Formats: sequence, C-alpha cells, structure tokens
Amino acid sequence: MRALAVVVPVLLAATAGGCVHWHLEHNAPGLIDVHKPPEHIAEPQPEDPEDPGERMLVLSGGGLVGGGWGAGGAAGNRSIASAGGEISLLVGSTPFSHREDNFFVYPLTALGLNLGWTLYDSDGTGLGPLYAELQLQDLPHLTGLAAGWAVDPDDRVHGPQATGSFGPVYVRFNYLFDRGSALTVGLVIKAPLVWVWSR
Amino acid sequence: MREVPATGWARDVSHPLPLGAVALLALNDHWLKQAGLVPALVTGKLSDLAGLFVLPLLVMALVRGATALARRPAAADRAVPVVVVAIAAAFTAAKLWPAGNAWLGRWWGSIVMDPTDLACLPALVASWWWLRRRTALAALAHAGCGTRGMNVHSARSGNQNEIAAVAITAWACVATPAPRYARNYPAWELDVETGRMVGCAKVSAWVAKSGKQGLGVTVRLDGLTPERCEVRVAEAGFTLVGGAVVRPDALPATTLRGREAPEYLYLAFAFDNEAAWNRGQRQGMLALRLTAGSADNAEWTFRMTHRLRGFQRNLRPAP
Repeated sequence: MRALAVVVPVLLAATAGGCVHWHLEHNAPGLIDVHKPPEHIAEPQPEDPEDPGERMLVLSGGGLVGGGWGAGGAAGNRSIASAGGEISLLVGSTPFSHREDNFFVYPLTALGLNLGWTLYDSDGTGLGPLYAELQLQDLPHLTGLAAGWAVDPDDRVHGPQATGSFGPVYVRFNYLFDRGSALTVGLVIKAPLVWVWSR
Repeated sequence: MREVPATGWARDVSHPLPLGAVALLALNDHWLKQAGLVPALVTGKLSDLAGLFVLPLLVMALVRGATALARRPAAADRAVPVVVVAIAAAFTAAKLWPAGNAWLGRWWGSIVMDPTDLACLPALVASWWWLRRRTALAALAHAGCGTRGMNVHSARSGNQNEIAAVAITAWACVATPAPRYARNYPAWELDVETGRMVGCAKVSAWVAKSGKQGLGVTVRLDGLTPERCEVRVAEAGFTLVGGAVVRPDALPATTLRGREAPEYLYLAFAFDNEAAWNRGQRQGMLALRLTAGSADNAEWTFRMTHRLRGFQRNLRPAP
C-alpha cells in the first residue's frame, strides 16, 4: 500500500499534465551551408536555416484495463481480468520540428523503459505483478513493442512479459513460473509530459 | 414553401444551405482564426464541421459532372456511400496517424493532427442525409414534378450558377490558411548600427546566415561618387568572447560602378557555433578592415550577440 501512495499521485500528476511540453535550448541553432552566400543577398536579415529535427524526452503515466485467458499452473485454464498503472520514460526523435499549433508533440520513434503495476489481477492472490519493460515505439505506425520481467511479490512468482500495442489497444503475454501463462488484451491510456530540444 | 427540385450535376452544392456552410468555412478560415475573437478550439472545430459537410457535396458534384459526361448519370448515386466513407477514413487518418497526416498534408496542405477533431465526423452524416435528400428530390423532378416548364435560357443560367457554386466551394475547401507557427532559431545579431562612410562608399553590414556551422555576414556597398571605385575587405575576424579569432573563407573585393546599384560582399565564418551556443558563449566581436578607392584602411569592431527570440514564431502576427 505504501507503493500505491507513491504510484497513484505520480500517475495523477502525469495525467493532469495532458500533452504539456517544454522547450530546452540545447543544440538550438539550425543547419546552414555557411560557405554559400545567401540566396537573396540583398535581404537585410538572416536567412532561415534548415530544420535539423528534434529530440524529445517523454515521461508518461496512465492506466491499463484488460481481460484475457490464462493457462497452466495449479489453476489450469481460466479467464483473467486486470487493471493497473504504468509510467514510461522514453527518449526519441523526429526528423522535423514540431509547431506550437500541433496537437501532438511526440517523438516519431522512441526507446525507453516502462515501469508498471497490475494493481488488480484476478489471476493469483492480492495485488498483481510489478513489471519493468524495455519499450520501442513507432508513432507513424501507431505501434509499440515492449519486453521485460514481471514479479508478483504477494505470490512470489516471476517471469518474462511482452507487450505489443496498436494505438490505445494492447496485447500482453506473460509467463510467471509456477502460475502459468496469461494473455490479456485491453486498452491503455497514458498522458505524456514532453521535453523538446533540437537535434 | 415548396422546394423546387434541382436536377443539375451540382445540385447538391447550389443551394443556400451548403453555400451558407461554404461561407462559414471561408469566413472562419480567413478571418475568424486570425482575428482572435473566438477561442482556437472553436474556430478549429468550426472549420472541420463546415468542411466535412461541404467536401462530400463538392466531390459528388465532380462525380456527377463526370458521370453525366460519360452518359451514365445513374452511376453517380451509387458513389455517395463510397465518397462519404472515403472522406471519413482520410479525415480519421489525418487526425490520428502521423504518416497519414504527412501524406495527406503533401496534397492538401498542412493539417493539424488533433484527435478531438474526430468529434466533427457526424457532419458527414448530415452531408450524407443531404445528398440522399437531393437525390430523392431530383428523382421527383425526373418524374415530372418540377422542371417540365424550364426554358433553354433558365437551363443555361442554372448551369452557370452551378459552375459558380462549385468553383466557390472548391476555393473555400482548398484555400485553407497556412500553419500559424514555425520553429524559431537563434541568430547572431550586430548590436550597433553599422552604416559608415569609407572613401567612395557607404558601408553597412548584417548577419545573413547563422546556424550550427557558423555565421555569414553580408556587407553592402553603396557608391558615393559617379566614378568607378574598388572596395576590398582587407581583413576580417570574428572572435567569440573567451575564444580564438575565426577568419573568413576569403577576403572578397568588388568594384562599384557609380551611385546606381549597390554591391554586396559575403564573409563566411565557419566554426562550431552549436558547441559555442551549448557552452553559453553567446557574445562576440566582428572586426572589419576595408579599403575603398584611394581611402586609407578603415577599421571597425562590432559587438555581437547570439539571441533566440522565442522557440516558435508566429507566422501571422496580429496587425
């Protein structure tokens, strides 16, 4: 429960932040060919440089709700329902800079870490497993792939876990030793806080 | 009042209701969005609502025109669901899917990627209803309820009205305003006015290029005498405060031919400007030594500052 007291406020803060982003000054100058005279040499102002693109650090938090099927272990074949929270820290980039009138400020490709806790899990006793995953996100195709390890501290079981997502839909497979395998499908909603700087 | 059934190829557009939506679209895109009288949330949705209602009508007018030319007018009515569903799919892709947004943006112009705009999709249902209603009215007219008495003159003027309605609708749909913001970049600036007289020339300078790879300075030369006059940059250097002197690629020279046309010289100072920016080295000195005609060397130094005036710039500032 002490962990809940930490996780829930962080998730709420991240969610309340919505799609907030901040700019950092690092690498701010644009790309120029300094050796070539400007195209309009009589213009008494600097020529627009080329866009070097941007890098972004994304801290996102949100919740997952899903259901599915379990097999193996003492319980045998069974249906599963689960709900939990997740925090992700991702670093990514875009080949072109965002505009302030964009709704999304988010990297096109990103790599990072997910930390989550399946707070309600009908499989097992008490709270569900904690997990850590390495995640790869590809926004143009709305897909994400993550793989890591899940540990259920109540039941003292652990094992590998993999999650795939397409937009807000996720599919998760885990195999906890002594409990068996579980496949869940559900919805994930996360709100990102984004720090943006130039490439 | 009984509505007179229309039978023409642009019958779906040439009616006060869709033309009112077109007027709303044009007014919103070209005035309301810039005026700042209404929140951007409202103007953004208004464009999408009006646009989603009007666009299927415009596409159907073009489809009806094409099928009429091919002498298969009945085929157009079968295209209605295809057109509406295709527009719904394209709109959804543009609002949710970055690759789809980028691809459609190449043809259509910049499209704001805002998933909340999907709330405007019901406008397509209204559009569909309108298309079906006009089709039903046209069928009635064909059955002999409306246009039997039309003479050649009214048919011709009706066709002209339809062409005008389609042209206006197409303009309103295509001429969406450009994006409002763009990324801004830091640039070196000369801190003082640079205009000086050197012999036969008036000399002024400004930063023409500023980026990761260094900075470029343009020197403008205006002739002060009717005679030809040679002007040469004898020496130039840019010094970052706390750094070494950077020399330009070349020391250019030119000949002024009287007072008429100014001449321009370009000085390129190549250095790791990005590293300097990241280190916080944002002050510098530009030193120039020029000879103009028979005048002795004239030498100046200018203080310079590397400034970022906001991360984004408004492309349509308020007048």
